[in-house]
Amino acid sequence: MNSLVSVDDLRAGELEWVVRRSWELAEGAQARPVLRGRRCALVFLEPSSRTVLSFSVAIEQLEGHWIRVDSATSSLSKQESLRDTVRVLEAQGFDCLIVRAPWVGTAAIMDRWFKGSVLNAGEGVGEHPSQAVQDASVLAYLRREEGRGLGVFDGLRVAIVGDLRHSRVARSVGRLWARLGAHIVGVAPPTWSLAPEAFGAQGVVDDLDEVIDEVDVVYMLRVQRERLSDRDTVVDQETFRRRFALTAQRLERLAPSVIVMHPGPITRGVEVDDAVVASPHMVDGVQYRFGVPTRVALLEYLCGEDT
Amino acid sequence: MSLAVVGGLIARVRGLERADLRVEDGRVEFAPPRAADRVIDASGCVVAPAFVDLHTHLRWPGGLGPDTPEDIAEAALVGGFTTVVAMANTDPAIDRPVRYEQAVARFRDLPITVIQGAAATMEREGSHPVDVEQLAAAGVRLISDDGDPVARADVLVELFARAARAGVMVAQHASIPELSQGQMNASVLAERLGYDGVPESAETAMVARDVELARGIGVHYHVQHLSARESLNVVRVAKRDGLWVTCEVTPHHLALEDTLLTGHDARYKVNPPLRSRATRMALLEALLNGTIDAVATDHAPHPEWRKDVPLELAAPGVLGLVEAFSATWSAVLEQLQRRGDLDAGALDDGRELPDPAQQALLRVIEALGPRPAAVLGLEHRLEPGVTCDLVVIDPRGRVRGGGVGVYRSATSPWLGRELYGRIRWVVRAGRLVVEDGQRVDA
Ligand SMILES: [Zn+2]
Repeated sequence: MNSLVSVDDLRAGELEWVVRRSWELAEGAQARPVLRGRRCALVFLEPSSRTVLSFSVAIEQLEGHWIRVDSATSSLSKQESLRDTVRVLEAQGFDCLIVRAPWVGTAAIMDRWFKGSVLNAGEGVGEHPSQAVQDASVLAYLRREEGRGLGVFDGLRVAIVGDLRHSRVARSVGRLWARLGAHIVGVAPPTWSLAPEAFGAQGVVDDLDEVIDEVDVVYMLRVQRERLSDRDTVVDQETFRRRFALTAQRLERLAPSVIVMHPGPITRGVEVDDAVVASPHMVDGVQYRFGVPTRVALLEYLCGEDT
Repeated sequence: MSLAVVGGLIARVRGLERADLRVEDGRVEFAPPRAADRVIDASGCVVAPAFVDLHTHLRWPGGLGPDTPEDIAEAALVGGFTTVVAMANTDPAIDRPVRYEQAVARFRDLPITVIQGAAATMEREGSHPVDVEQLAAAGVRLISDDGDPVARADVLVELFARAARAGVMVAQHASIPELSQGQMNASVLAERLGYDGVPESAETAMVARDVELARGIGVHYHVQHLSARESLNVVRVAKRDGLWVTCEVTPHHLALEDTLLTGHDARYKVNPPLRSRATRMALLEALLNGTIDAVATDHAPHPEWRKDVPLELAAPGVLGLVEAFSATWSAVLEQLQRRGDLDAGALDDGRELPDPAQQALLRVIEALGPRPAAVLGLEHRLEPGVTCDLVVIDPRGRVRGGGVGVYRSATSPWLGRELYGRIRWVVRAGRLVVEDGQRVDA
């Protein structure tokens, strides 16, 4: 049994296997029943119905059982250590924990004590490795004609745009893809900026126009409306639209081959316009399509015995 | 009872000196052993004044952890401390004479001497100064809102003036609150992991402000757990200008670094946070050149459920009374090697300690005993005729950290670490209280 806590844990060979396996699954291959007779706990200390859905479907395809543990049933707030939570789950016979939490480090801490597999399904503003792996699969899949597998990332120019500071997706996608050879640049207002090293980037600029003509992939982050306002400590919506949004006007400048990605859910009219969502550049549909196959492939890899 | 300590090197003001000691009813004589009740063979060891900790959390009243003040006193003795200063960030805070007197009474029968500090502001809320004069009359020597700073300048100026008149030291956990909400040292690593950072400037800016506010008042201002490189410069300038400014540094800031938080282990969460290697080096140099007055533990036990959780939910604070000497000494040795002043393995060949190591050892011993005592206004030196608690240290001895069998809390950052320097014997009030590293009650 293995765990996936951080994208930094993944080796290129392992990733290659997961990516190619997710393609097969997306094209209709059968999942191997590696979880038959096994129990997985979806430890969701932060609500996310979409993630619960993709993991629970994946576990069912692998013939495993799952149960959801949420903040109400775990007692982290009631003088229980995370270690106690792990002890209880282990005693109840769980083999695998899928962890989503509002706090950075939750999966790493659980993995320190849990004997089975721990999969980080997104925590705080820290990491979201399954999303990064999924989007790597998607991108390589879209360019599979080149026959290079993950080699398509070598020299790939990627802009990650939006609230970098509060984004676990930016950290995981940026670092994983940079390790595969992509050149990452961040685009963010100064208050949402992040040290380039923190997300594998070579730099951060504060205007999308500075890089939009020179990238192969525009990865748009979700902007939470509550972070937009006209108070001076946050970013005002008008400035954000003018300099950071993928608007209908900017869409016209994109070279035909440019791919636009978004981890969802999209806030239309804020970070991307309807015209962008409707355009052939936007591949969020493929991203959704790879949600379950990527998780099946990851679980096959982490929990399977002979992979 | 009488004790003889023979064959050791004695840590005196002018250096390490080979001599035999006789301790009779606590009084130290430099004399060959006569018929003593007990003879301690201190060959290979250094005999020093027992340690004085300027910063301990005894967690009474209101402690939630498994360690009682009695347990913490045991850990102190095993670590070579016979005197500790107890912080006042208790529940309720020790902010008035009646609470101070209750604490003093609670600690009176402990096997160590407790100097109880008082809070600086009522309920440690930062807005109303405590009654410094009344507290001084009750016996208080120092005030601090430790855990938090006295952030308001007007409150601090009033405290400085009243404390100066009353002869009370103002100790400050200096860190600008608005800049201190993060989980670890501000760094690229913090950004990568997704934690808000606490910059060193949060501390230095407040130390610099406080020093300027203290100028001309004549108050004794003490910087608690100094952790920033530039704070050292502020303290240096203040001392050069003749201000009564002292500072302490913790063993964990001397020995541990922020990169330990890569694994999200809250045992390493502490306030102020562990810093970079460069800052750690600067702190070690400042210890060795005397800028730093004292090594103080900030020993702060917590129950497991406050440590075995994500950093954002965890309580700050580490255990450290047992390892204070060995952690500091090991970090100093490593620094001497890094500088090229000590060969690797120099401690393992059984010969005399090389000169740079002897000088450094003396600095460490001073910072754990005589100098923190001086910060408190106490004379604490090993000279003929004085009454003085003693600690006998084997600087080459190896220990494994973690305080197994001593700490009840199982959250030590030193757990499993191999350290140099064993506390072998401790003599308190003329009685042997630690024998070959084990607590005894002779
Ligand atoms: Zn403090």
